Amino acid sequence: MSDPASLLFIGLPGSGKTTFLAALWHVLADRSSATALKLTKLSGDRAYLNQITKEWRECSQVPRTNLQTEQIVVLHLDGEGFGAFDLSIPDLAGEAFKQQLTDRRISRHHDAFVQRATGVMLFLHPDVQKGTQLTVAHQLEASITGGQKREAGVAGAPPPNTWSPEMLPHQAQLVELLQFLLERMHRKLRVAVVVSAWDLVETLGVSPAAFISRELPLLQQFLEANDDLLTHTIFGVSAQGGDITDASEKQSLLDLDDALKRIKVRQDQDTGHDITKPIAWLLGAGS
Amino acid sequence: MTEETKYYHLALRSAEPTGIRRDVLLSAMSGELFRMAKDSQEDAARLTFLRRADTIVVLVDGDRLADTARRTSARADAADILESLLDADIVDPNCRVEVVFSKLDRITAAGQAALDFLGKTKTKFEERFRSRVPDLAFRNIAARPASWSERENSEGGLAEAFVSWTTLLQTGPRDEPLGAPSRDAREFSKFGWRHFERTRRDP
Repeated sequence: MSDPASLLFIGLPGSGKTTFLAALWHVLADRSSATALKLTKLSGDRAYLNQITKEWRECSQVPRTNLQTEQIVVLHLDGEGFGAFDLSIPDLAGEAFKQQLTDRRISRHHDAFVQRATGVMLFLHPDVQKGTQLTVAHQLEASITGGQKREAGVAGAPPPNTWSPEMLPHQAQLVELLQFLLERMHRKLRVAVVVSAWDLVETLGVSPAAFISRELPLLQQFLEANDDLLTHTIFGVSAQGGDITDASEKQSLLDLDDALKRIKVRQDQDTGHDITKPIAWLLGAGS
Repeated sequence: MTEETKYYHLALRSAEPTGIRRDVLLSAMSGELFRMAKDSQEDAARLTFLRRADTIVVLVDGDRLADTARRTSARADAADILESLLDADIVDPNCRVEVVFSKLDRITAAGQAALDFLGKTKTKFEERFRSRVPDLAFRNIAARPASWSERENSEGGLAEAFVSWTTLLQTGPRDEPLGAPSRDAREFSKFGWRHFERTRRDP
């Protein structure tokens, strides 16, 4: 078999990378649902996958990956139009990407993953870093009309807070992460943007692309303006299926006769349960 | 194997006068070994004694199946152990694999949804393993049922299950009599041949 295809999952801490991986492993190992990609055989060492998937199956919070628990997962897959292939996915800590933003550095270890990656899945949680989304910003702006003018006129007012990278708006951070990648990769990049916890925003009634366009316009414009450097598509993925911090909602999810039904994947107007779809797209399906 | 592995040898004979004599070797080992086999191909391949098994019983804890929070893991764990053993190529094609769902009384007490989940679990095992395990069977047991009705609804108790597991099926080349060893064969081989010939003629 040739060198394994390699995908990179990137995103800030809590953006849903590990939860996606856990749900993906459940679907692949279960083998009973119609998916674009199928597992041909189990991976050699599955301790990590089984550990995170156990939490997912029990509707518990999947433990976040930290810098000490980073793992490389290898999946043996097959799919119509792909043939049999091995897929390597490093489950990197969100902190590592945060450090890239604050320290302007990338470790050699991570850079090696970037160099090998044949596609990138960019995760963002719709609720992460509240206050950086435009709707929230607009509300704040409306509530403090004229505030800035008054401040400017007061003599001896305290200086504004010193800027730090943590204050970067969410979408600016994501664009920055993509720029890091584009700088290190010297080929056209395929990017699947995954809005995780899609169940939290699906009531808005918009497609994932429309959601990004509305809430993270800088990211949307960056993706479209750089279509010579990258090809992208946007998915909404609910890997847990609902809010597992709400006891009654969690019980409803556990009561489903098959955990596979918890998963929702939306692309444009299509909604289904196939969590392999974003990966298949990254590997060239539908292009 | 580790110190956690033990084998129990039972010499059994049916209660009927013409009953067959049977030597049964039961393995008893830490569940940790199977958890490791579930997680790792390498560890599954270490369970070499399974190559000689006539019957492999995969036990699924009914108590976990009756609990909505743990039932998906219970199903997946059992399936993953079996698949790991199959991938490691240590399950003989003629080996009977019986998936046994224990504590049926707990599942029944949990209501129709739990029984439906049990039914779906069997379907999933069928779909996933039938092509790789020709002799795949299922059994519900309640070793210590709270009421008689549970005992009646289970497919027999442990005694019936045990008889079934120790009844060799006439399949495949393993059960065919071997030809007599040559004169210059090792004494151990001759002893083994005499022993099997005797038990075959006079069970």
